[in-house]
Amino acid sequence: MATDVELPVRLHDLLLALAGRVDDDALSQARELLAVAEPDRAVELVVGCLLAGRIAVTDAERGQISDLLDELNSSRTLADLLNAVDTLPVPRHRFSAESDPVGGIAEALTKVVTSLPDIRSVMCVWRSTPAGASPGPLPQRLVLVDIGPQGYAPATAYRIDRALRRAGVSAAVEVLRPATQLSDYHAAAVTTAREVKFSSSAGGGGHRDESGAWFDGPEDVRDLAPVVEPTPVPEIPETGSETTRRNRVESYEGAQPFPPKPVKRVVREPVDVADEPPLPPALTPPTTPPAVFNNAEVTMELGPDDLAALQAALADPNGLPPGQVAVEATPAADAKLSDRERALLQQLHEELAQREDVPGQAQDSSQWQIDRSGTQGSFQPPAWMGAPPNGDAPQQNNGHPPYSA
Amino acid sequence: MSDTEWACHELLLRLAGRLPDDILWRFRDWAATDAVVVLARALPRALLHDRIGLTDLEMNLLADAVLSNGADRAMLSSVEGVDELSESGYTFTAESPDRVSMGDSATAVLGATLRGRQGVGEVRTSWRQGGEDQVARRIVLIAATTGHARLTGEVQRVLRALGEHDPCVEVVPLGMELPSYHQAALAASEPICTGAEVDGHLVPV
Repeated sequence: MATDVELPVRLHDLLLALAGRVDDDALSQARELLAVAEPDRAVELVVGCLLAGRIAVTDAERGQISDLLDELNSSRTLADLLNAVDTLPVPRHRFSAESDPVGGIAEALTKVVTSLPDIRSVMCVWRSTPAGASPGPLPQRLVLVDIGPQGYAPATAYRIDRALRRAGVSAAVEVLRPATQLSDYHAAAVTTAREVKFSSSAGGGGHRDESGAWFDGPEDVRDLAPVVEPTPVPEIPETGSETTRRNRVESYEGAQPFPPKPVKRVVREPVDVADEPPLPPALTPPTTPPAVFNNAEVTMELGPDDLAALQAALADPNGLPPGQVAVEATPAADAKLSDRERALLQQLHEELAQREDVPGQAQDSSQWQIDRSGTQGSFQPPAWMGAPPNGDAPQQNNGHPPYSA
Repeated sequence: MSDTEWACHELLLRLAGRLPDDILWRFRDWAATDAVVVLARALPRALLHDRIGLTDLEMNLLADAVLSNGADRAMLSSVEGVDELSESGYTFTAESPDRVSMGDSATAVLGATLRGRQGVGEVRTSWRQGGEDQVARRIVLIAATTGHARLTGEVQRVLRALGEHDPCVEVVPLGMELPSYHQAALAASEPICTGAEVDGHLVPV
């Protein structure tokens, strides 16, 4: 397949696409092999994991793997053994930003982030669901790194992964390139993640390119938001203890200090629709009121800042009457959103608007609520949150916050 | 178990402590699955990459294990032959020297899973130190009469879920003369449980 994209970048993107389907250790190992100029071993590792776990791939992914095998003088026929499907199974990964997912990350990455080119941001989140056929222990911390056009994705993934191992931090590192579409897995992770704040001398990478940003945004809004500068942390020498993949300290059950509580199920009493506060116009189903389910899923995925932003949006100081909540986010909430997040939310709004034009689409909506204090009321999700057709399966939001920007 | 599967399992068993743990457990995971065709290419490449030599017995096992699955004969020819294996540099102990006593869930889970199980004999564990490792590794030794590769993969997955990223699971066929690595591990080991094969002792009684 003729393409302008270099092989390492294509392989990096393939590994990104497989995140959540292949175990994190295999992806980390493949990225290491890619970074140290052994892409042939990286591709065969990926193919072996896909075959061993009977993990489904799309026809397009199988084609990409076939091309990569051919270009690397391996056997193209290995790709023919893969389990190719028309539609991938819906991922059911859950993410949480509780229990301080950024703890210890800034200290571990200060030096390497400074030395790598064009790192835009580093975010962290816990994943509470297993990935792959041979998953590791849970919860799994994800470190999501945004790089700009001057960054090198495979090298960044490898160097950050290595720095974390040296610091004794177990995490899966995902480096997101510009101009690539986020998978559902990464979109859910990014939406829930917390950003790592580095000291002013370290943040943003050593060779940041100011000419481009995600989604062509003129300037990262987060740079304009008031930020409390953390206390400068001592640099950890990169040549310290040689903890690598092959001699790392194993993390046993319960080794994660405070496992998050991403999702819990509660039995919800039937709700009188008349007692419910009216919905914003944009979220109100056009005709039939939504069905009420006894088994509502209550997420704990909003952090305190997110909740405050949500409350501020719902209690508009301009005195809008109930049901007339403005869709625009507060400046504080907007300042927290990256260009990528705002673009994602914009896409969701557009999809919501399209579905509202189709009668009956919103009938699949179900009851959601934020279980913080028990006094927050409930939230009616739009159709894009994906209620199951039969309405009796448990709900999940894949980490998307139930509020709009 | 076919001759190919048997040769593959025995070779991967004999490579314990010589191939890096993160690669070895992955190859063992593939051995009982459709990924054996990838293993046939990846195993010789890993041996060459790490300059790992094989004895004559192991060389024959390698040929039996991978040639029928499409391995490159030229690559196999590059694998160095050795007359005898050098000392591993590992030491084995019954208890982990660097872990505080917080209870051992892995032992409890293995006992619950394998006790009284058909085809499984004695199950023991010890701890390995030395080599390139800075930390001690748990070594699980299992005597089995059948389904060795499949049992290896299953126990590996259990240990990974419990937090061991690179599990070291040695499923030994009954009656096999153990390599020196396994003899040393066995000498320092402690019992976990016994499967249905009550005569399947790792340690002579």
